Amino acid sequence: MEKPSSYDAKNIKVLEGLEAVRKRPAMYIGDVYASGLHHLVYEAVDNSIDEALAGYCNNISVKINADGSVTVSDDGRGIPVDMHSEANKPAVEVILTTLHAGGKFDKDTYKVSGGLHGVGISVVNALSTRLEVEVWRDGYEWHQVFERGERQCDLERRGKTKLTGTKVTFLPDAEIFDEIIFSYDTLATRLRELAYLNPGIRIKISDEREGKEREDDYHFEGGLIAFVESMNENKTPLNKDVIYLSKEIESTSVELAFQYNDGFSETAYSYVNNIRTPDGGTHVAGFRAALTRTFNTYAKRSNLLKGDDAPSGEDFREGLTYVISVKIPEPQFEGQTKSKLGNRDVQSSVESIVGEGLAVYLEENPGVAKTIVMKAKLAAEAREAARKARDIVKRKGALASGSLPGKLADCSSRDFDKTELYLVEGDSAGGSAKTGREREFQAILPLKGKILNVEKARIDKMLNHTEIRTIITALGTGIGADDFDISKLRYSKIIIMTDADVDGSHIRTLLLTFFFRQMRELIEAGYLYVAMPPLYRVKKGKSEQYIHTDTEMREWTLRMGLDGTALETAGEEKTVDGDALEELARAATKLTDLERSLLKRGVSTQAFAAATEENGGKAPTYFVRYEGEEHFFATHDDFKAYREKVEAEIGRPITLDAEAAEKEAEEAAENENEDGTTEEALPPVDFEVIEFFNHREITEAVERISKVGFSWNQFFLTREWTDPEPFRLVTKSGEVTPIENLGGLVGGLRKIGQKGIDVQRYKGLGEMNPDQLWETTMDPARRIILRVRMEDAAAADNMFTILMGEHVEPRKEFIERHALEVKNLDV
Amino acid sequence: MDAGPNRTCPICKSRFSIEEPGRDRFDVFCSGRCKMADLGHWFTDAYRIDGKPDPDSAPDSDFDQRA
Repeated sequence: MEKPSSYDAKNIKVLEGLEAVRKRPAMYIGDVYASGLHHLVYEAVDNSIDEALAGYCNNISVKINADGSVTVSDDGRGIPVDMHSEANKPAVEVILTTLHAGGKFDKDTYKVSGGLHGVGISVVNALSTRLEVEVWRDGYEWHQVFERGERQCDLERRGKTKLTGTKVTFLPDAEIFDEIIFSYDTLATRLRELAYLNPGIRIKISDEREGKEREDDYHFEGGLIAFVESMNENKTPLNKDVIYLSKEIESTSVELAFQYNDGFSETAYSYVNNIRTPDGGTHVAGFRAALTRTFNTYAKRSNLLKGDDAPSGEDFREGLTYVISVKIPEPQFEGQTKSKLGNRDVQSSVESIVGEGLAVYLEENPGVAKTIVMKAKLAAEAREAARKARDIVKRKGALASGSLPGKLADCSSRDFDKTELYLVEGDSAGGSAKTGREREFQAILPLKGKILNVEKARIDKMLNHTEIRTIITALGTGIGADDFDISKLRYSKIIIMTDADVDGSHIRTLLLTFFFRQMRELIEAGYLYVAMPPLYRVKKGKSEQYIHTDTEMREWTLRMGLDGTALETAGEEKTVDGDALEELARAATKLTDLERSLLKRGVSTQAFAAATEENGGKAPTYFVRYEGEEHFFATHDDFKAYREKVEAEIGRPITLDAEAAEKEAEEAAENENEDGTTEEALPPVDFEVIEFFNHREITEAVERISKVGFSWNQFFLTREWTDPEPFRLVTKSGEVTPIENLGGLVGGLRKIGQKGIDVQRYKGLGEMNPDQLWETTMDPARRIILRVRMEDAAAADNMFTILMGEHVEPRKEFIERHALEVKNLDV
Repeated sequence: MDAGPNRTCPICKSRFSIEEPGRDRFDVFCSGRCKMADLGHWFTDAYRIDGKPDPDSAPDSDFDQRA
């Protein structure tokens, strides 16, 4: 076999002339549109930045000139003008006419250097119709002109100067570019970014084009910290001071700044040698890995997280704003658009710098650390919940309609308007409900609602996760922001049926809270109800009844007591019975309620009654207590007249609201008069006013009493022990109950009503057999169900929050007050 | 109208205002994220209301001993 001809360096044709650039401009600057056009400016600016990074340049200026050309100048050392030995031309000419020429291609001149593809200023020259360079160096001003990359004259030495620097002015070639109009905003954005990345450098930009005149000056001593602060400007930061880390490992210099805000998105900017890497790369990967690892390690050690549920990296980047900037000698870019850093060793450098720096920061700032860990924990929880929510929907879809939960006793009809789902507390009541229900339209889902808390030897109330899933599956709606669909609801009434005791009320609270928080559309659409099982079954003779509330119970005993009973006054002067007695009893009930409210406010009922009498049976509207004296007033005018009289006496108006009066007094004491004295602090006037909003009702009750021939006074009679009873209640069987005054009328009637009745109190649904449950609570014709309004559910959520809360006292009080309250629910 | 923060998110405890556009007086959470985290709590048995001592396992001395 013949030896192949040699294939070595001398065979390689080097076409590095600028004609190559003009032939395939996109290869050098990306494209010939706006991006490539602006890239020309960046190439020129990069040279100035390189000078700055090397420590020789402080000011850079970019000017869009009136004719559309651009001037980039700096106060660096100036491009060398001495003769280049190989090319036999001045160095500046070599740099401007030779590809890959310049200091940036020599590792010793600039340790690190920018420039996206490292093509250099010669590309700018090649793609410009005209380029002029001015250099101030070696004591003189130097000047040379090029057109489309071709030199038009020799480098010319002009006058003397002590300045140093470089100024390049160029007009891009309209033959190459689609359009040669520069965008001020595009340039300004990039220059501002460069100013952040290179703190200390001042970059000015100005536009001198007709009608577009403007300028900006970027100079950020704070560097990346200022960059992050500007990005978080309108957000609420979690760590007040931006965390800043910077270190050099071998030839890799890493600088990064980050801050958390209370938002949820990740805002990241990464750079390699000042070049933005929109797709990240090894530097970003190193930062992310270190962030997740360091936070998780810290959280576990500080007991902020337990078990294996460590938040993922994504969770720790929620609300994170960061800028990472690395400077390395030989960056390798990857990806289609060369926008991702590929150098492997950078990852481990960044990782170790962040890991070390962040660990120290967290130790020193435990408050911030905890806030961030908790935020990440919530993010992880939300992510996991969303996964589970999707899972429920998916699983249901896969198994079709046969997949309903086993505990659900579904109804046979699928007529949405008629079907109902009962959520029943307890398996035993659930069993009764299943037997007693109307199978066609009523579905039953029993819920345990309780769990043994082994640790504390208690039975806690909760809806466990399988029950929650079961409810969601039975409803058919799915759950979560993306998966909840009310149009898939399988029943038009969801009825919560719990025992009328504290446990039942807690389970109802849990269910209402769950629906309110996670399925509020269900409540808004009016699909959610609460069943009202009876509290009592009462029997008297042949009369039997289920009673749902204590008010109803009082009403029932009163009714029983009224049946056939007569009221006789002493000496049998007068006898009242039937409707008249009922009328009297109802008015008496009203007055008893009033008495209670008066007592609470320290007003004597007798005095009130006397004032009413004096006023011809009209109840007073105002009560005033002033200087130990008490006054009632029938009308607002009377009250006002009295108040004005008092005000005239004390010589100043009275502020009635106690809080307002106190504040007024405080402010008077603080205000300084012009002569420096303060006003005399006047104490609030001790003028107590009570307004009776129910005066009309009282007047009416008093009228009703007089209609049946009695007066309010008779409610307060007291007798000497020798006197006979002023009143007697006589039942139809002739039994006599003496009462001292009419204040005891209602109590006496109830006592009679309670005689011989058989009361069964239902503590739980389970005490009723299936027939009774159907009759009392489930039969649509006889039951009471209350539609849950948003207000009711919000109140349940509030109660839940208190029950869950750490404040023991208000919690205890709240539980006692509301445990059995169902009356807030309206039909 | 003053739209200062008037509600506390039960999940992250941050304050928000129900006067903000897109919110109403029945809003419980500051964000959809916290609503999801709440759902997570229901899914992981995190919500419990303290109950009575379990009569089978609690020692008698813990009970009210009024005769």
